[in-house]
Amino acid sequence: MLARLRGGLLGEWLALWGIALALVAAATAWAPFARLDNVLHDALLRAAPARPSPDILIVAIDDRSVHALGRWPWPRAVHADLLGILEKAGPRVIGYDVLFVEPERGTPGDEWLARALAAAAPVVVPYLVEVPGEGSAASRIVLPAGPLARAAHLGHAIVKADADGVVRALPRLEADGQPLAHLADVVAELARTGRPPSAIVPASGAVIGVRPALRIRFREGPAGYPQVSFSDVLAGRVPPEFLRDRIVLVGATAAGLGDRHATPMSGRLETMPGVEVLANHVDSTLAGDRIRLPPAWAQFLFTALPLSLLMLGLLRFGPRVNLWLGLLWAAVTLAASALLLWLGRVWFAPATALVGLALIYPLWGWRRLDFANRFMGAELEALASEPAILPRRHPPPPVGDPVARQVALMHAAIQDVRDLRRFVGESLDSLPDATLVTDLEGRILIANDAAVDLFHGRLAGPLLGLGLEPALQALAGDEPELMREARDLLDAIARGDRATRSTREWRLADGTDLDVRLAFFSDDAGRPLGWILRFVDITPLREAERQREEALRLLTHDMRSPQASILAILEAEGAGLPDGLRDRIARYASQTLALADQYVQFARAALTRPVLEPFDLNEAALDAADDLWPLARARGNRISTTVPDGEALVLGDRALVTRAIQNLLGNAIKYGRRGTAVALAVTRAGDDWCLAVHDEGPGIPPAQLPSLFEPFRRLAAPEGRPPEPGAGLGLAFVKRVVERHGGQVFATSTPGRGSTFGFRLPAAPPRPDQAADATPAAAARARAAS
Amino acid sequence: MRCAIVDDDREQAALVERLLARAGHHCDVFWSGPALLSRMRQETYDLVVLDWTMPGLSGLEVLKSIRQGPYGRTPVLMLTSRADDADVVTGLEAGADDYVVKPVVADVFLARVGAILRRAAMNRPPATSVRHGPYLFDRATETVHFQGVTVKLTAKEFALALVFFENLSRPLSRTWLLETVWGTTAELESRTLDAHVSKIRAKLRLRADMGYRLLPVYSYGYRLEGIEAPAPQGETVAVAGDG
Repeated sequence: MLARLRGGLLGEWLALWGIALALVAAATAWAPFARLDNVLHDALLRAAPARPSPDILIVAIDDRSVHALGRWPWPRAVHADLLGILEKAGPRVIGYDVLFVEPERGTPGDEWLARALAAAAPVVVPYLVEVPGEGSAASRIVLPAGPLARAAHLGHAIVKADADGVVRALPRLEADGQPLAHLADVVAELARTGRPPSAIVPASGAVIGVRPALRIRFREGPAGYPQVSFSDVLAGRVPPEFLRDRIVLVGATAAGLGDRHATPMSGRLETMPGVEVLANHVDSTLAGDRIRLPPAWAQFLFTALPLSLLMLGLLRFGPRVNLWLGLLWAAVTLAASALLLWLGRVWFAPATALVGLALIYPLWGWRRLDFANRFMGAELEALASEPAILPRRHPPPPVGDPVARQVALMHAAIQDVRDLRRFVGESLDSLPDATLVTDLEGRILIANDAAVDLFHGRLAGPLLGLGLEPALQALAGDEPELMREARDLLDAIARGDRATRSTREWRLADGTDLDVRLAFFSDDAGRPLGWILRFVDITPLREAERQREEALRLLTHDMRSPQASILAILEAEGAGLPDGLRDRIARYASQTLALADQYVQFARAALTRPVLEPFDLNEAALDAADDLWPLARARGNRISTTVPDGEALVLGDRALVTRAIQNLLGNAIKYGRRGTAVALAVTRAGDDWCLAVHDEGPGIPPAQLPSLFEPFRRLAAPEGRPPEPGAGLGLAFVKRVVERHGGQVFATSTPGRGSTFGFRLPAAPPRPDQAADATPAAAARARAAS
Repeated sequence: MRCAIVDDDREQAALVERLLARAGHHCDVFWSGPALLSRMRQETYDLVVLDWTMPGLSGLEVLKSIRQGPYGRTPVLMLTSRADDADVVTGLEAGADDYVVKPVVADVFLARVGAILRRAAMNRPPATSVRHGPYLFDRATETVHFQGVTVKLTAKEFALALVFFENLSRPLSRTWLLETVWGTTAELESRTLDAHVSKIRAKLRLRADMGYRLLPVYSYGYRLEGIEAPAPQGETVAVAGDG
């Protein structure tokens, strides 16, 4: 039953695990917890920001510059002047994040700017990419106006935020499958190698695609990089050394110019100017610490691992341990994620795993509860449909609401158990025999009223919870024999020996005779549960037996003694009597003796339990034949004894069986013709040993045969002979003894030819294991007690 | 030999006294146990014939007193009207050397008395060959010759048979037999002795027609008995049995 429960739970567990893995796979593909991932990602970046590179300088078109130089946009000449100043200072690369897509009409500003661009150290200017383009065109590409496009390196300057409006990477665009370079990438490449990256500048109408880009490892900020105001550079207030050999990025920071973005570094309210995003990108690219996203399978494993570990824990540990385990796995997941981000520059999103860890715990609790509930429901239904021990008094459980039904069934089952417990207790108490119920170790669980009475006065303190050892010792007192018996019983219990002798007879010091019975009880599946020890008070029974025995002894003695004395007188002083008279008196005295013996033996055979020991029936036959030999000689008969080779083992009381054979032989000699043989034979008959005594007498009419074994039946004397002495108990004794040994008597006769009387006894196994119990001392004890 | 007879039944006592006197023994007769016990403080007896059932102190109690007294080794033969095996065993275990069930049959009684007295005086040097009735025991070859045949016995069978003949008419307890022949009583199956008795009974033809009976003393042991002649009161023997 419990195995089924366990198996079912394992099934539930496997199902839940499979579902969890499937959900993780789906979550890896669709990232439903991307927001949480992003929050964690940004927080982790903020927690350990890198230091901005001092090589990068931002020339900011800030509010002060707008105030000094007038409203934006400024004439191209202003930009040309700035470039001229920068060129003289000698920066490494200039990234000029200002769109010059419309031509400046009516001035030669474009020409001046083109010359300045060409003259300055490599300059990168943005071009415009619009998707979609005008009309049905896939895109519109607008290059810097006129000569400007040829005077500088070009790069697009698109800054694209993630779904949550936070910029974490600059997009990698492609046009018709060809990569387009971002302005920041071009700047970084020029700074690193002095050459622009191999990229194309697309034409309008090209299909623009976006490829996954490495994320920017943002530096401290916003405003983390050294920054100088455009107007200050233009006014010559910035020393040229400050600009020399630096990567100079020119771009708008003024609030009114709009080019500001939320970044991981900018927190909730602050934003970061576009030019600083570019600076971060260039910095991160040159430092080589941009952040990769792992392949999907790696992300899957990263998420599935802690979940699986927790599920294993669910299978193995209790709820409390699992709560702590869940928290531990969540912390480990988060820590792993952070360390990989900071040191490995790869972002494993932990949110799915965290959510999963939080969900699996209650989910599993629910499944387990549900399963246990169903199991219990099924068991209760089964119990309700099984036949009851006690009459059921409960209303039938309501059909419909399963919970109400289950509660009703549960209530009924509990009530049944209570009733049963009461029933067991009252049943035991109503037993007349002292009964102890113990567990396997022999601790007393139940003691009925009779048991309490039995131990009252012998044992101080309550029986319940006590071990059997002190209880039995209290019964045994100081009697060494009883102490041995108690030890033997306790040993049998300690060994769990179910095959131990189930009944024992104890005679306590106060004369109480107890029949001690040990029984084993087990559960529904046959597994051992405990022992039942019953003490039957057989004092009156034994007392009656003793009195009966005493009566028999007195009877035999009082009847025999005078006869023996008569015979003694005849022997000692009978010489003076006439021969015939002396012989007649002697014969009658002998007859009376024989009658007393016969009667006592018959009564004892009927009343006492035969002692069962293995013995050789052949030997008993020879004993009887030897015993009757003088009589046979006196009558002129022979006894021919035929026994098989080897032993004819039977189980029984050798003395009783020998006497039975003597009776058969005695009859055969008495009723056989003088000078004939009496044949005594032991033969095997199936599972029995058969003993037959045949005489060559006058035979018995068949009609008389069945009644011969009844007590006080006597045969009519053969013709011409005086009636044989006897009480008619000889054959009745044979029948009683044989039947008490599990055998049968038989008699056949052919009138005029002779009769055969005999019996069959079940053969004992050749090597009887009762031998141990049938030691002479034990047999003598049993006999003395009977 | 000096014998004491204790019996409250004077007729029985007279018979026993007559039988013992016929066998050449001197007898003192006591009507009760205490009379014997007080006399035994001054007198030494070679044999006490003790009736079981007496008013006052029973034969069994007298026997126990004798065994606990200074003449504890005096041989005791119990006379009993009780034909019950359990009583016989009780008497033998209490220390009686033998028992005879009433009515007293002269031959049997004298054979038993002889066995007891013989044993008390017995101190026989071992000889290589011994004759017992028709049987000639040869210790060297562990064979027995009788009626012109030679029977080979096993060592244990030979020893057991010899023990029986050397203790003719005496009840021998199982424990004593096992200790004497096997040297131990431990771990021997109780059937072992029965099987050996059965073997020697068959091999030596220890049957009534050879003049011997090898009888079980139920719950006690065995006794080998010689038969001189058929008992005249055969019927009594037939139905009453003897043990």
